[in-house]
Amino acid sequence: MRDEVVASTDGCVKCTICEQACPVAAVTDLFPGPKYVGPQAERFRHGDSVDRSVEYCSGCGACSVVCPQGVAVAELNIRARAQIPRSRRETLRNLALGDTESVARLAGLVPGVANALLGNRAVRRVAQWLAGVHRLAPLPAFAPRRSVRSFWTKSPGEGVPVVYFPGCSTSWYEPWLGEMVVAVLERNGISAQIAAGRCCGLPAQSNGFFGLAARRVARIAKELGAPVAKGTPVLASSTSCALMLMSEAKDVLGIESDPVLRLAEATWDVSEFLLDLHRQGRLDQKGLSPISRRVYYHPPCQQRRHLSGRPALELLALIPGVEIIESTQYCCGIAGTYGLKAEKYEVAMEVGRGLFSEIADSSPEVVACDSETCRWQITHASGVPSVHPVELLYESYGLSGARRPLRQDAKRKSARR
Amino acid sequence: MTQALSADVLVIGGGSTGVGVAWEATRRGLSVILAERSNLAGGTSGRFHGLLHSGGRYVVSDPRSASECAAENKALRSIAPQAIEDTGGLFVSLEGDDPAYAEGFPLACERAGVEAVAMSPAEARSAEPAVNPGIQAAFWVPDASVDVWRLLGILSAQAAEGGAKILEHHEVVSFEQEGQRVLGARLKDSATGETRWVSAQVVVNATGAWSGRVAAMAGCEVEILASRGVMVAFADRLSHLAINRCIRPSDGDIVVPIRTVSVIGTTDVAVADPDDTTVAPEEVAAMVAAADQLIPGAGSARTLRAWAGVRPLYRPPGGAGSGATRTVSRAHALVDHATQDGVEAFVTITGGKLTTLRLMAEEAVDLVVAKIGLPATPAFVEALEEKPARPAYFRLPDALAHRESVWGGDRDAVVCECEGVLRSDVVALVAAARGRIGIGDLRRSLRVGMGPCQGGFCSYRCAGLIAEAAQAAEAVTEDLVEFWKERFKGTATVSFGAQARQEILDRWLYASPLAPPGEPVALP
Amino acid sequence: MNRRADAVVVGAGLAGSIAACRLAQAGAEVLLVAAGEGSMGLAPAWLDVLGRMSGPVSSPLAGMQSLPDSHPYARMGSGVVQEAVEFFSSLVSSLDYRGGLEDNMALPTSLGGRHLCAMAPPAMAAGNLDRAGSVAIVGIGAMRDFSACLVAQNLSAGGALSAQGVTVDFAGAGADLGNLDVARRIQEPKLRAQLGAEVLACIGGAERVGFPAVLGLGAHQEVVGDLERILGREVFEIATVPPSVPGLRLSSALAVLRRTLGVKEVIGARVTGFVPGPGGVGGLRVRAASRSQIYEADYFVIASGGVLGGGIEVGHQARSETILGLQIPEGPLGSLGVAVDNSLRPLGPSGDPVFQNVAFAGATVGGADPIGELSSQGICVATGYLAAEVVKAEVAKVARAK
Repeated sequence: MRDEVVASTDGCVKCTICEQACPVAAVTDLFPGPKYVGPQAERFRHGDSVDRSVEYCSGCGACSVVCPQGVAVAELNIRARAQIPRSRRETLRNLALGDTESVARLAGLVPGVANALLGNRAVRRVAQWLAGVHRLAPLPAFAPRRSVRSFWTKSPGEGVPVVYFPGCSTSWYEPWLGEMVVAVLERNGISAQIAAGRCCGLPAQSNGFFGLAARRVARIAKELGAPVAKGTPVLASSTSCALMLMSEAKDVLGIESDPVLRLAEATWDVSEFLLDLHRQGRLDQKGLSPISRRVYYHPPCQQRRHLSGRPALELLALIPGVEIIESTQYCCGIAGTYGLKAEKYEVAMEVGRGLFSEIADSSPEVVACDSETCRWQITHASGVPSVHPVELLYESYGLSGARRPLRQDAKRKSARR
Repeated sequence: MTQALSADVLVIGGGSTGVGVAWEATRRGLSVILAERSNLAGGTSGRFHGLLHSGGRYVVSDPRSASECAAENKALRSIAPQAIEDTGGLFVSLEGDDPAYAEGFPLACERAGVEAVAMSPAEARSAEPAVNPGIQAAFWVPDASVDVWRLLGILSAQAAEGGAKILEHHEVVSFEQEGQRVLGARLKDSATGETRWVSAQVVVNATGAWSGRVAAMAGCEVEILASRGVMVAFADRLSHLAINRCIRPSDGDIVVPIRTVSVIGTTDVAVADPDDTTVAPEEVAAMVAAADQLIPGAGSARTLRAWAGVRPLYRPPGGAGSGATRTVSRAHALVDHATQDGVEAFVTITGGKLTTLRLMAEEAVDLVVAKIGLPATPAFVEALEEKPARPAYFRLPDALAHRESVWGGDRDAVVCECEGVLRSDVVALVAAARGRIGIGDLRRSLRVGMGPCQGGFCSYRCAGLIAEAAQAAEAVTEDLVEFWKERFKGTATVSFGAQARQEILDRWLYASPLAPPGEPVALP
Repeated sequence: MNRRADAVVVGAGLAGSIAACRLAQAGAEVLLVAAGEGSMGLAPAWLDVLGRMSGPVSSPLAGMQSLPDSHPYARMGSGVVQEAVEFFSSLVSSLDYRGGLEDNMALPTSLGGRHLCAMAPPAMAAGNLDRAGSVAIVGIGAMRDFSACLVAQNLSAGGALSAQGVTVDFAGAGADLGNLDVARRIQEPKLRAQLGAEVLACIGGAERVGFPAVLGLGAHQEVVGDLERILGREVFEIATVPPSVPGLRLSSALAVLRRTLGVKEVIGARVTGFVPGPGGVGGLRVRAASRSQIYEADYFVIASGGVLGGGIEVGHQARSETILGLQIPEGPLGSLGVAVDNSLRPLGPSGDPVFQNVAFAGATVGGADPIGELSSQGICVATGYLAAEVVKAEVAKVARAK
């Protein structure tokens, strides 16, 4: 049988719509464009990888979204990237960035030490030279153990059951966001059971470790098998985790097992879920008190691939007093771990330049964005603090208890040149 | 009339047979002129599926052909590896196929000297994941695919290096005879309209399906059954091994991975006129359905082109009379018209297959040499004996690697994105031809316009490069429009799904941003 | 899970955008869903209304009078076409379209042909071949998709005007330039100043200077202004193969308008079918990343494209419309489309509307041969506009009844 993703190349009529949309090809000659390295190159691929130019695809997926012919351009590229032969050093670097769970488990034991090291310029210079992680790249800070504990001991509360999948970022870097998600859900009569802290596998997949990624997804599908079978929705506040569970496990890794397919169908982005509650008249809109704040909203590339519009934008619009500026730019450049790599950092910053200057021009007090890596990149490059949209709902509901440590942003800012 | 030419041998026909004869005769030190009415491989040779036969197809029905194929497969691999991709192939029997045929297959292969390795269905599926998972029996065979333009390009270039003169676009208008001896022929140059006279000690008629007509011009008789076979190319490779159906030869029994596409072939319909290469929609549907049986999913895969080629099946005088062309031997025939028709210095070599071109050439040139002898110093032979230590077969990713060589550099550009052709490739050919080159020539040499967009984007780019060199925009524009029409002829019967979408895009390109001066382009 | 809006528009191309903007302007809540971006970035931004019937058409307005009754223009009447085109011009007023339906202008093609269209942005309209005088055609050496030599020699051979082709280097811009590469780089003031100086050195006394249509994206006006200043004469753009830079300017302008007017969008999601409802269609089934959703509305505008855009599927056996599963009347590939009534409602085999609350628009609509007639954009604008008008009227009727 023909593979579905490969067969989708049949649809390519060379119309160039993907080339028009690609944010990476627009800023660098190192990337020849999605059509070129995607459906066109695919016809020649057989056996050993001979084309390294696909390496510069960031995997943002703009091409797949805009292609009217249904060609799975980004999916082809991610697969082809995984076939590129690597030096040992490159493999190690990619493993360090791709196996986020193991790294976080280790460093999470001593968050203070890890943060001190990652915040140290000399260490970062050595890390760039030794491991190829750019010295200025916005690496996240590990959350204090206190915050982590506070999230994991949060009780689900009363209401209709859902599962909340925290992923790496909430589990180790931004546990307060998890607390806020659970609290906002609870406020709306939803009882969120917190799933185990797991990596969804996406970083492993985008760094070429398909086996590891497949094991990660399979493990989650197994662990969540029981609630999913009962029809319980699985919510993610990380757009990349949601994307992995919704579609990439099948479309990129090619996993078609029942548990993974059922999990895909059960997975929701948290904003999409809350907006659906609102459409059903079940969201407590009256309880949203005014926040007078100028908010710049940027939908991350991964969220666009959920193919569900801009639910967070519609949610934010429900908060009285919020002034929203909607982003007209496609990508911040980071694309997960792409912009962290020494050889791609400048490209990623160039990709995001339009976004950063639009943010500067609209002088918001805060940027709302659904993806953690994008938030880190945006704050790193623009200096403006960034939050997940649910954080604003949390504030508007007047909820308290969970707190974002302010120094997180300050620290990241100081990492700039 | 332009200047007269003379040579030891005049070969008529620039298909695989004629080029093979010219090459072989040059190798033996004879002086050769080859005349082809269109371009090399412009007839049946350029209209086949691309399979370099292992011989497996004929082990039961025609063991002699099978043995010849097996030997010649090896020979061609060493003569022109760059034109060959060492794909390997499978013979598979599907549920419902006569199990007796598959059971007898290994022994028949052994007897005919065809290499065949029995595989379990599971092994075959792992060797070729695209194959129908319901296969009952499978055999691996040394099938390969061959790029005919590249093959004939290599052979004709070697012949030209040895002094042979290759005249494309030269059609025979008449033979010059003195009594019962052929002295040479008058050729008409279709570019200039002029005729020229070529004298030769022997004339070899290597015109395939047209050899009856050409022989008749010399008052000789060759009976050819013209048999039309339809082929359909898919826009992408559906498999990387050639997949043969392990049954008696029948319609749609082979899918060949050739370059970036897969080709399913073929049918066998007797036609009166060898120029009749029409394709019926039902034939396309039948081919696609047959491909879907061998490779599930092929039925919904994008079809790129359909075309037909006309096989020359030779019927010896007084040979079996009845109609079914499937049962007529695929073996070649060498006719010495001196013994058959009493006409001296005239030989016909016909029938056969592309795979056996070397053997056919050898036999034909043996006969020529028997008639006129050999020159004292066949100097060219040695030059050709030097073979590379390891065959440098064409590999599919080569073109991608070629294209990739531009990456990050600042010297070149990609002209044909579908087939990975660079500007420097085109410029080199245009320069070598001093601007007297058409986009069709670029297609045959470089594959521009053979990919999914069928020239929609690259043809204009090529036209620009030619116009730049030739400074003859009007003529180049005319050639460009002809090229578009020619491409559309092959897509008319396969315009479904994505190919229909492509056709609309191409039609729009030619009617709007690329509209030529004057009347709109009349596409089929 | 369901979503609801006053109207759902399918398709983010020219027709869908016009319909969505018109409806949103009228205060309707509009949800737009599209399988991908529309094809505006393929076509030059010229507005083809009617360029060819049995021969060249000099006036689209006059030509429309002799179209067959089943042609979309004939169904809606030339008055509506005129209104639609005026609406379009005012909607994208920032692009400053020139021309009108009275007379076609003849614009140069990339092969030196004459393309007849009703309207075009100023930099394209300036290339009108019916204007007298000599022109220089500028090619950029490393650009794949433009041959100044072909354009200039073919234009001159036509005899109407004298054209001289020159090819210059675009310094420091690389060896393999696509249309977008040039368009982006030329936005850099220093680079275009260098280019202008190179061009100035070799165009002699030509009165106008034609460039491939790559003169900037967001900074288009500045690019044209600078070049005209450097060259001291009028500059025009010549349409190229896709990607079309002027098309992209139009596409971006409409995307911004959709957003500003509050149209909610879901791009990249395919509509796979529909659920029946009181007016015929109750909702459309939309395939998101992992689930199907139903988009409900009272009215639906389907501008999902023709054969190229995927609104019509050409199968081995039959040709059908992909959302409602309508059979497409037989015809040549270029003319396939849904049969509609004067309100753009789809017709069944008997000739009666089969869905009351659906209006088709754009290339999905049958009855025309947009490529042959050179009427693609005109049909999109006119049917997109009319579809919105029909839906607006129906919404108003419902409101009155309430």
